[in-house]
Amino acid sequence: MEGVKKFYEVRKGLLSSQELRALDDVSLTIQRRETVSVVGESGCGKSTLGRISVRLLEPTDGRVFFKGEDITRIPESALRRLSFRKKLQIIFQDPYSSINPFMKIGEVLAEPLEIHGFPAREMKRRILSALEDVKLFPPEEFVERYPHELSGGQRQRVNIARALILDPEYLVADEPVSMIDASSRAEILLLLKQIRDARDMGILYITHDIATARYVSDRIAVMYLGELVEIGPTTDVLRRPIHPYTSLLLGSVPEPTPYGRKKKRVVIKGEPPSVLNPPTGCKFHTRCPLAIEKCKYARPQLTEYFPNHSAACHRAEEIILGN
Amino acid sequence: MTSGEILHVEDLHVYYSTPKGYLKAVDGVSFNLHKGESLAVVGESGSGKTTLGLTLVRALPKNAKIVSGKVILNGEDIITLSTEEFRKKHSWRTISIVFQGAMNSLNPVIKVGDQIAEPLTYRGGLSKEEARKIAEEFIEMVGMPRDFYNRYPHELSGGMKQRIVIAMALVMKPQILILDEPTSALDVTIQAQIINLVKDLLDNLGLSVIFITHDLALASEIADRVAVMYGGQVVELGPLEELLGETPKHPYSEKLLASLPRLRGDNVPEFIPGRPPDLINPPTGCRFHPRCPYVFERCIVEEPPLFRQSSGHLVKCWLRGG
Repeated sequence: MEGVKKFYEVRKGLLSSQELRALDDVSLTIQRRETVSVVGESGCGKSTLGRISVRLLEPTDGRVFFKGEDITRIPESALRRLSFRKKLQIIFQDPYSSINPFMKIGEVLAEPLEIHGFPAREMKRRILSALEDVKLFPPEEFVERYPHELSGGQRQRVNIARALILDPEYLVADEPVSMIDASSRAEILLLLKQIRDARDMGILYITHDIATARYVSDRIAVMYLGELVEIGPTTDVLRRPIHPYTSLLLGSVPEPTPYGRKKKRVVIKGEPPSVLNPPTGCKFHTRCPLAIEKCKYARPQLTEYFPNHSAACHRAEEIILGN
Repeated sequence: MTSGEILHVEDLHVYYSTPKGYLKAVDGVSFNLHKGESLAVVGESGSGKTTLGLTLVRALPKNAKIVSGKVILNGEDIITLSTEEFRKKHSWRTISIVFQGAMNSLNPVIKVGDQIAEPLTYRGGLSKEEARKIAEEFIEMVGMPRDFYNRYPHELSGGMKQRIVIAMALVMKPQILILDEPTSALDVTIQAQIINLVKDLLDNLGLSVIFITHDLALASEIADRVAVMYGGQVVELGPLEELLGETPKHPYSEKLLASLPRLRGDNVPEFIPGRPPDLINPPTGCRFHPRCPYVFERCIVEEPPLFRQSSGHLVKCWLRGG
């Protein structure tokens, strides 16, 4: 994706309207056999980015490429004809509302195959093997079950199976574990890793939880109010974050500790400003403990400070030297 | 009751009537709460933690029934009170609750300050001016400017609304505050702010808090003691330092802790195979036995009691208890 922007018109009264910049000039490349996590708070634009990348949304500006081909503006019919719809898949957060409760699991999985005109015999084979891929054993039994007979974690695995059944090359997983019980989360995360390797896929993992991102991703991208503020290899971003927002985000994640009651966390003051009326300059300057005058008017550019590790912060060099 | 104890729950059973039979949501739960203490009740979906919270404020839905047990609040068994008596005597004044998602049930057409002040005039018999003054103090106490009194819910962010509902729960100066998943709809940065606020309240008001959550990591930020629930029962109860300092004693707590993704360290999160128990027909013996990696014969046939360890730490397990 290159310089992707997504603006919405928000009506204010009858005649006036205002621009909402959900995504403002974001570029991101996902390689084959790579998982990139996009991390950020609600409203940062991470889901919009994910949807644009599979062409569920069209960007206002910028371009989306898939295997070198520009798919930004090609019409839906062509997307299907050129089988891009098969190759680009997405799974959503809520495993309860994303599966038709009146359909058996077998029917849920058959639907995409029917749409793409697979013969009955091939359909059956693919359904059983997809269920095996997501570890729902025995698959013959799961085919006959209804969604309400499954736990949240099992439903989410059905969603993954449905996304995989058409052999996609690129998968967007939008908060796939945030509604799953803790004891089942790790299983879904492990599954995402196995899929990436076994199927040679590119995965965009969207999450608000940077701790889960650590286990699935090769790279982490941090977003704030529609912009990419930092991107780099997972361990580098976690161990040596550059952007102050990344550091504070890492500091906010609760971790099991026997001494939690006795100390307080350093928290980011305030709340994210409205996307409708974002701050000038660096959008984080209103909450940043290191903000200087320049941050108020000049927008920092994403700059590479270490191999593949970039951040958009005027004080990045000082921060790196201070580490 | 021991000294300083303000709440004592004994062998509580709460069942829901369903077409398939009784669902044993809370099945033999006992614990106590001391003045100024925070107790985290940790459990996954279907563990009975929310039903427990609803029972303590007598706000159970119609198909739920308190089958047996005692809930002794300041020396009085509140189970024997009628709902009306409980409301008059204890709701808001002795014990109050912030429900999960409460911030979304603020009345959209009433100023948030008036919503905080309402019980003061309605139940406390104060004049409007007096109530307004107290409501403003509470708005300030939960970390917002006094003039937010005049705002409407849509003018506030999620974190601010959560602060308002906490102020509402505190305005009648209860001794016990129950928080049911107070941060699960909030971003981590805002979650951290709310946790710090609850710590301030604990430190400054001498309040007792029951913090209901699915998140063991979050519980560890705030709890003096932790009760781990599984399948409608407390399977482990002990001081935070003991539960997280070494390995937890109960296999379920141990595996739950091992399932948490962390930012540091090399441990890869594990998962617990299987699914939560059916509470209409719960497993025989120990309810965790079908998923327990350490299961042996006795666990399948006989339910373990809550073994008391020398430190007072309770563990419901044949292997780890004795």
